[in-house]
Amino acid sequence: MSDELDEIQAIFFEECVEGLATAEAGLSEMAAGDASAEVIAGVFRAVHSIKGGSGAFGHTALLTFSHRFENVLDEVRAGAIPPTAEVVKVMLGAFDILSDHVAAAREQSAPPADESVLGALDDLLANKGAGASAPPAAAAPPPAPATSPAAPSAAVPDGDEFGFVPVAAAVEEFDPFGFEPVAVSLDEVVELDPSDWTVRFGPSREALANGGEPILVIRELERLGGRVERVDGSSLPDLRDLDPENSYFVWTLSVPGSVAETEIAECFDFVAPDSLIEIVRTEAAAPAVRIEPALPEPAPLALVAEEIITVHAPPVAEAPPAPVPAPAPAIEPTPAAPAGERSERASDQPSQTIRVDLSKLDQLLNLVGELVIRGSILADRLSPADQERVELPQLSRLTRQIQDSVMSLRAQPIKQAFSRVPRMLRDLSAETGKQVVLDVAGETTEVDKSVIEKIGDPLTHMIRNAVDHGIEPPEERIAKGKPAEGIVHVSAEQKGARILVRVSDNGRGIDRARVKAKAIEKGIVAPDAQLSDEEIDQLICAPGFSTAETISNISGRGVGMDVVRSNVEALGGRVEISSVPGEGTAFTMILPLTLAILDGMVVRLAGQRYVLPLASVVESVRPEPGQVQRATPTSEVIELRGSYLPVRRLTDFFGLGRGLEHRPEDCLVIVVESDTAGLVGLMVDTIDDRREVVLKSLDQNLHPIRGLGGATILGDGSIALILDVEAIVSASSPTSKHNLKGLAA
Amino acid sequence: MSKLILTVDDSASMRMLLKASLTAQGFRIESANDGVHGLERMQEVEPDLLITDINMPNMDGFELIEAVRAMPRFRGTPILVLSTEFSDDKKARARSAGATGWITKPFDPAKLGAAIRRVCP
Amino acid sequence: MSATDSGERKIVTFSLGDRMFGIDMRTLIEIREWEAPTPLPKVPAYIKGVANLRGTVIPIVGLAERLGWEPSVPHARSCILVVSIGGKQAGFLVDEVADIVLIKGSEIQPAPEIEIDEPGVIAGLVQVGARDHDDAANEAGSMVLLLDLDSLNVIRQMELAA
Repeated sequence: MSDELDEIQAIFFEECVEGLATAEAGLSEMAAGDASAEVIAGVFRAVHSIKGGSGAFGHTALLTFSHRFENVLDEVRAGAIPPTAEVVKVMLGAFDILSDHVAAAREQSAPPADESVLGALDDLLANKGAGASAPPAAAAPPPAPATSPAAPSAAVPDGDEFGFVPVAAAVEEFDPFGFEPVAVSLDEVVELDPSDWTVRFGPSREALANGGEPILVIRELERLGGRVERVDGSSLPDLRDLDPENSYFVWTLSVPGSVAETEIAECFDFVAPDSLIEIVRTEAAAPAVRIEPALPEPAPLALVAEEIITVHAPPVAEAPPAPVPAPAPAIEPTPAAPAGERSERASDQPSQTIRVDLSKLDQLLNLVGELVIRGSILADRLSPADQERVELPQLSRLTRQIQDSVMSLRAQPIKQAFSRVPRMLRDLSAETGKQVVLDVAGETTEVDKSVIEKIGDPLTHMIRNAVDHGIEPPEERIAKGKPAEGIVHVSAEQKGARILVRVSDNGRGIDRARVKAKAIEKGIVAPDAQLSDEEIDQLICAPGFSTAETISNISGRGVGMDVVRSNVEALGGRVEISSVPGEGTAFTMILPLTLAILDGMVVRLAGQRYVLPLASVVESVRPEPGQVQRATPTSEVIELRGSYLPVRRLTDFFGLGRGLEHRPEDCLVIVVESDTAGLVGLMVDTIDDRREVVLKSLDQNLHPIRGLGGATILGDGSIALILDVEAIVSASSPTSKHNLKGLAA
Repeated sequence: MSKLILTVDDSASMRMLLKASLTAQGFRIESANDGVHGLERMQEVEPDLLITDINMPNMDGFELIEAVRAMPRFRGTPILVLSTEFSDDKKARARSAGATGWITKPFDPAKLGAAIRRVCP
Repeated sequence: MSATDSGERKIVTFSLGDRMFGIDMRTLIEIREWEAPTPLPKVPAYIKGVANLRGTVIPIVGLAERLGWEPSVPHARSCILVVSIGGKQAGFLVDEVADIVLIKGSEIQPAPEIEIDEPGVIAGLVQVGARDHDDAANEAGSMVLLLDLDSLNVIRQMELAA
């Protein structure tokens, strides 16, 4: 048998060599700038396979190292660690050590010294954007007590014929699918009472669908001395309603009190966790473990996130534990309320938390979104008299409250996004020789996870910009009578349904003359352009403005503030800049609280449905004949209570119809407020509906299309495209804010 | 007749290891090297149990499980995931794809055998 | 990777007009019936729109137009081949799905010169036998042009276009 093992092991080492080659090729591609998902996945898989085999053959040092390397790759793959040049460099270093580990394992020699590389890998994990400050949730705990570099590589130990070592690193061997989070409160109840156990077991439909066989579980319990006391078939439906793939029975068994609870729980290891499983001491009233049916139907895989987030739960008092301990619904159903309120409420309570898989929250959010849509469809179908009934508004208020609660479950303190700032500033300070003190405020402000995940990059660029261009070198500061140390303030606050994230410095302020000169040199503005201070400041974010000076080695790409602006705009936000020469500059990102749900107006363009975000809608107008006029050969305006607003025909914008032959009085003009062009009228064919939609990204499989912010799936399964108001009004804008002023005057 | 198990893993050494340790426990083993082949073999050999890795080229374990579960004749076939991964999230994905249980690599052959007998008597 | 792949692979064959094409089975996610997608504004004509694939929004591409030929007119047997290219998903409108065949690497001949906009898209040419359950009148078999979806790179084209 050992010959066979040797043979297999030899094959394993061949695979290692192949895997190393794949990993090296992939990392080189990444170093050259191709960090496509495929390349990253290839590297991950290579390291993953090495890890898998090394565990099986008892190469502990190799296992430990490859495991920690893999953790980092997993985060890179998940997008939590951007594959910047620095990161790739660390990974190339790790690759070298991995090769040495493989060689050491093969030759049974001492493993290489790997502490410094492991340190660098840990730093990457510690600094990753999302979830960095979360408890050891998704990121696997480092395996095994660190192996001493001097220790000889684990030889195949004795034991069973294959010499499998239950390697310490190897984590749990069996998984009781998803049991861990619930098992928390056991201890108190368990040890006290030696009475028999009452075990209730009601397999879910999923348990059966996943190939689970209830009789096996019952047999196992019987082996432990258990006895079936009762089978409850009361939920068994009529034969014609019977779903042959569902289970309608709940077994109640008694198991001797001498049996350890863990032994009983083990019988349920492979039972789908949405089954009813209850293990209680017969005399004890409260269930020790109770797993209530969770959610049906898995979420689409695309939505499954990689992290687990921690959710605050109210204390589980004497009452039986609630299935999903959600915070009490906020009274005010405004989207802003729950996040803010919750943070206070959470801090009042003893910090009691459960860990919830993020995918479950997303699933819940999707379902609630669906519920909202169905609710509004139902309301539409009711007769006016029925709509007057008090139940309907109550139902929709409850639905709204559920939605808010779910959103608040996803809200996380923005601290996570701020956590990498201190280190970044230290590095920047060391790199530039500037002295910088960090001042952080509002880090407990809660924002939807989707937002937190996406502001990391813009934040990084803003801070880098503040140190590179804002803060002066110490000598210069002293010469100006300022303290040698500059200050960078990073703050967050909630204002209505928006989050303001500000990075400000007390440096030299924007040198407007220089910015303007550079913009002229780059051809961004005409040499004779008359620009206000504000407009000059905005040039910093203009595409193409960034120069070699602003190329960031944080991202490793030549990007500057224009990327900040486009990232923030892609999130439905905007960037404001204010600067006082000699005193400092402030960049403010103004972001929506969530990116997952959008309140929208469903409009029709050339017969097709589009969604206009309600946040930007001011009013809608059915124009009278003559109210919409031609201003220039290519532009129109609408006269509204004495002032003129530019009008865009959306069918023209998207090339959907013939436009100008269409009579405005047959259309509707929706007045929207935009950041770039003020009030603008958008001409649509009709308004269909107003509803909340769940935002789906278009660029997951498509490149972004100017003017479209995404798509949503409507109740009937069809797709409606979501309009990006800012892009529409700022693109193709023959009438800018300024020449319009002239026209109106 | 002893139980027939299909193992799907992209690593040849892992496949051989599984085969050696499970045949020693009286199981019959077929194997495949990725999800695509796994799906083909599944239909050809109709095993009593499927054991699959997660990270594989071409078609990963999640996709394989989903595809297998989508076929009526495999609705009741137990499926175990054997992976070095162990995050709750991955497990949740495997479960929602239709997996019966999860075993973390490296595996102890005796425990693996016990786990197999638990889902596939 | 293992002995079983030694150069053999499965391809899905389908027709566009009177030509037969094949793509590697491994890139195929599913085949769906043609259903008019939601049109997208401001995209090249070969992008027919977007469709809902179990909650994910995927683009639907007219393959014939993408290759520079007359657009396919959807009919009763038109299908959408949903494929995964470089981690992204897209659906291709094709005239009719023919078969799934096993070919050997050694049977693939170099790509012929044909009128096509996209060099490199035709990865090769392979002769496939007539389907055994088909009527024997279908002579010896037919030539199948193998497409290399990676180099077709619809997604990148869409970026250029957008």
